[in-house]
Amino acid sequence: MALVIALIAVVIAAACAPAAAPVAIPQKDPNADIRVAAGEDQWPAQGETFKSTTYSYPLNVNVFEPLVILGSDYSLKPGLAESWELVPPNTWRFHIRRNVKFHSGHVLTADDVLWTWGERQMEGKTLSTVVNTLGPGSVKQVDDYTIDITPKVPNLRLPEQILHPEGAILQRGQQQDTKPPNGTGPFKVVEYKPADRVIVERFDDYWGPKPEAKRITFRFLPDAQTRIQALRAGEVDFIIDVPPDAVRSLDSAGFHIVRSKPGRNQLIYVYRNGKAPHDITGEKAVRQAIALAVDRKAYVATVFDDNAEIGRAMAPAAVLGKFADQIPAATYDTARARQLLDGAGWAPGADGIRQKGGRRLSLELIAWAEVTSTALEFLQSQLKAVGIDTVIKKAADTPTYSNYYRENAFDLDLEVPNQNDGNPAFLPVLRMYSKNPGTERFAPGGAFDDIAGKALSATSVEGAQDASAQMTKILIQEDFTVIPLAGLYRLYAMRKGIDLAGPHPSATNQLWMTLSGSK
Amino acid sequence: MHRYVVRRLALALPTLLGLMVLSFTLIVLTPGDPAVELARRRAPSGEATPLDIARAREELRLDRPYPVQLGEWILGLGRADLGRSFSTGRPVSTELADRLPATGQLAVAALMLSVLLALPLGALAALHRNSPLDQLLRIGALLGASLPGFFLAYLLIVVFATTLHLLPVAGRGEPQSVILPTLTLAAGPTAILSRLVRASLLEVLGEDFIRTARARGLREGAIVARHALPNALLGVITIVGSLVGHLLAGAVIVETIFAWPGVGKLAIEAIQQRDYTLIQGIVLFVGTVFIVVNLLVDLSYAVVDPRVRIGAAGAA
Repeated sequence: MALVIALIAVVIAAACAPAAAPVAIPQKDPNADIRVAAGEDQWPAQGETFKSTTYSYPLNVNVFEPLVILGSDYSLKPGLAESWELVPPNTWRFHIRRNVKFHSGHVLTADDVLWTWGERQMEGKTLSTVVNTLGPGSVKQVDDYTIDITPKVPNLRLPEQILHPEGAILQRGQQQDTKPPNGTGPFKVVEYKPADRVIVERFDDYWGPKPEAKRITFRFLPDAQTRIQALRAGEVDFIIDVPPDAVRSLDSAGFHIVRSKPGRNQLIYVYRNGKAPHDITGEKAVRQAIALAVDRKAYVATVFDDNAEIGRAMAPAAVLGKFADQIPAATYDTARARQLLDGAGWAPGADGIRQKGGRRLSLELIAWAEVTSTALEFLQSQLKAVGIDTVIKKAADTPTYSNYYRENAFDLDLEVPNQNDGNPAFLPVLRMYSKNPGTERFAPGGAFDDIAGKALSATSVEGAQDASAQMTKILIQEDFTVIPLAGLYRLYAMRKGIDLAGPHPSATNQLWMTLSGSK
Repeated sequence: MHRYVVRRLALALPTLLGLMVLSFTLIVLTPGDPAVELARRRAPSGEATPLDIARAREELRLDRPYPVQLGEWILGLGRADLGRSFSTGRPVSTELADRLPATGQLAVAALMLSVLLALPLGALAALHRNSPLDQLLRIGALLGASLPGFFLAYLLIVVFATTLHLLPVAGRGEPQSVILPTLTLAAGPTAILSRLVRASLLEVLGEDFIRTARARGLREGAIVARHALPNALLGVITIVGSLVGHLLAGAVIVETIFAWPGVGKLAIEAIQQRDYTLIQGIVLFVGTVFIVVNLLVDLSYAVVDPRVRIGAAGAA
């Protein structure tokens, strides 16, 4: 009885006790007006026909939408097409979403898709991966809300390619650089000052979920240090493309850092099929030794201050789905590298650099302009440790790099390719499939080409993922034509109270719908 | 005076022609082929075919002999036709016209600030020669002249924008946004100009007519303001012309850091894009500004100093 009384007393006491102080949960502000610092202005001005191929960074799919949308996990999601299906043998039928309005008020129909894909795109200005497979009459309007696309060659990867922002649907008669910009996206442009700012507001008639912020001002601050200072000064709320070496200081200063999953990989393409003097890397032993000589863990720590992942494949892991695990992690083994070079007849010279038949093992390294000197010097020192001399040809800008590349003046080519579409085989096929133009420098041919053919004709995404993983394995683990170094995050920094949920690994597919501010 | 003006104009014209030839030839000699670049930009795959390149070469008139190309280009300049930008497809003259107001605002503000600061600072240093104040101004001038523009820019941003929150970090929005880029751009010219004012003033203060003025019992302030400074400024006016060149060169860095949408930032964008026609247009434009400003300086020199026009007339 005493126990019962005690229990009752405890219950009564608990009920009468003052409630614990409620934890303040920040409320999202539906009227948030967020100031973002972006890089260089790439928004096309009127008549800028060439610049429009940059698809309006940093807004892209936020203003203009494609038929299919690339999810941040690289899955395909319905965009302006509610669904799509393959009509054998080679026609893709897209069912266009109803009640979709352009910012102008015009209602989307299949006629606008016919204009975009059947007429405008055929001028050959954009999205060559798809346009190159189309011919006259490839795009046909079935009814007001159905469109058929029949490539002139079998292309089962079309829905994964057509989702690129360059393939966004335009109102009949308009272009991406038509002013004012007129898309169907969740944000509409309300002001644009070239090289200064672009201001967008939530589009109230948007067909899908509404953006969390009401208004976003993108200021173009090309210099990364200026962007960081603008954030520290409270002049902007959010910055794009934080340099990896600035993350630690911003974090310790109380700013919130958001990292996407890797969408780009730093890779070395080894010039496999070169002629003298760029034929040394034609030797498989040399290529394998280079792959073994690089300590990726140290590379990521030194070059990116650990704000990257250790490189493993060509495409982001998410693109390969469950098949990503088929590609083993790269090995760091300098003893084995030396052994391979010894075995191939490359003996150490007086200065430690190997020689064979009077020829030094000296390689020229080129890289995209964005690759830092730290990265190149790190690789140079790692390769020197196994007796390989590396001459760094640092390109200050993209055209300089392109000149080196076009003139085949290199042995090692460090690139940072993007995966901006959903085709799992995109990168291996684009760069290594011998039937593709421009792959003659690297293409291994043989079994690789057979699997590439399978990837392109796979009727399911899983089939393409499987084939892409097999191709990647050949390139990285068997032929050593590709040496992955690091998987790069998209890095964003923001003041407290601002958040970006689910950042996209691909910058051109980044939706700002989830950029939010709190009250 | 009239003959002096004619002679200066006659000298400026061949300089201008030389600039035209130089800006055209430099692009011709630059590594890389503009036709390949243009064709590559237009090719859907980014890989231009020989036919694409041949078409681009014809369009750019690069298939003609060099003297013909040069002649046609100079004739085009007469119609204000600088060609079309590779990267934007717009006329180069339009690109320049869009960016000119921003650079003009910055350059004029920086030049005015330099002159307004350098005159009193230089005079103070001269009047207190070898004093601690002179030493302090000497150190200030040394720093102003030797600090790299990018370093000073970040320093000013960190102090006045990030720490004190007094001024905006970057952009060309609010009126006060011009202050930090102007300070950065003006630092070097102010330092150079103030040292020149000091040296010129010291030289003039040692002249006979100054001694005469002192002997007549004029106050030191009046001697400096009415007699010494105007004479000392004759040499200073000459240097203003070359300072304009200094300002335009500095604008390239300053406009990039401060996201100031001017000709300097356009130059960086054009170089990064290897936009040959735009680079050519910018080189010609900046060179022409430099020539015109120096011409105006020479003419104004004749206005303020009778010896120049008399000497010129005598020589003629």
